[in-house]
Amino acid sequence: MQPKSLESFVRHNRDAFDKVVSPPTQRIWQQVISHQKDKPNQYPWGNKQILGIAATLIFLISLGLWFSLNQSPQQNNQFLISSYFPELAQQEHNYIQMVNLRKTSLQIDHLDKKIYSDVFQELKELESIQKTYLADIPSYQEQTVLVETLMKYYEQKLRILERLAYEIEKQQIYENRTLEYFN
Amino acid sequence: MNTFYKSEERLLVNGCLKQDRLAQKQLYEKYVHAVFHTCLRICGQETHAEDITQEVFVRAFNRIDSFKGESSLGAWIKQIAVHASLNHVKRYQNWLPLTEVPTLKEQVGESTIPPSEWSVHIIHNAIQKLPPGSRAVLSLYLIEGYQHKEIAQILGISESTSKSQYHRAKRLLQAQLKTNHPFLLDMI
Repeated sequence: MQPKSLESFVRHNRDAFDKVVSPPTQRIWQQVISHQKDKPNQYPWGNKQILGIAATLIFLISLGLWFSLNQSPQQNNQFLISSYFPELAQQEHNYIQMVNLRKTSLQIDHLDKKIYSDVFQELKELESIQKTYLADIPSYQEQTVLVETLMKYYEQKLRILERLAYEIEKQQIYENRTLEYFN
Repeated sequence: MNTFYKSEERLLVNGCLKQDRLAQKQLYEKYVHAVFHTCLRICGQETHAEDITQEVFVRAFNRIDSFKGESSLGAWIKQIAVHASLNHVKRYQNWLPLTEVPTLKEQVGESTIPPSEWSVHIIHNAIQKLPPGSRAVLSLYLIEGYQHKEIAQILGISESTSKSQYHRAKRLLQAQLKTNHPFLLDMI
């Protein structure tokens, strides 16, 4: 294929290049609205009010954290989907087991969080959103949609852990190369 | 706000500003395929493209007040998609700094390939196999329609590096097509 013909072909068929794959539009939309939920994009209040609200939120979050840290493991079950929908207990248990297994194999507690700060930050944000939505389940009208999204979060967490594994592998290759260079 | 943009777009934007779910859904449906494919062409993996597409729309809805109608709504969203995808690639994939590569003179010829969904699939798949940096430059120039000057700004490289990387990507693409799909040559 000649260079110009390739370019001409792509330009003449430009629209077809946006139809090659059928993306899971419904699933993506559910995830978009989950992130959008209760998230106003305009702030009609003044700066002082925003600061006041932020301070109150920080206080409430700290209080929440203090309580959650002082709870027994059984009480922590409120952060499980199956505590609201017992029929999903097995599925959720499997996901949790997979996540824990991956975390153990990566020795996540012994990793340098500074090196992989992006991934850890992403995990932290995901877990925080997950907890917020879990707490919202009783008051949320479209519970089925929310639960479906929450289950997807486990898959997302596994994907993040896979990326972490990839980053660790890259870091090791880099370290080995550096060692080879100096030896 | 510049009021000179299509009335349909204005309605969608106004709806999104009011967080009208129906308007958001319409905007989403109108651009989701284009956004998804832009992300896919740059990041190269469908699961990642899915995550980035989601991120793009969340970001677009949250920042819709910054859309001033200076470009089309589609171009504005595409810009978000390009930046989000490049950030993703730089963060998670093996992105190497782009450098200038020597260019070879290319043969000039007119297109005689008939439009074919089959050829589009083959070229799409071949693009996915290019190295991340070259794939990004080729996608931005050839498919998204950016100029080398704009690509240089987006990627933080020089204009000549963008041009040489584009020629390199095109050569790699042609070599791949020749090896894996020699029958495409018969269609010229």
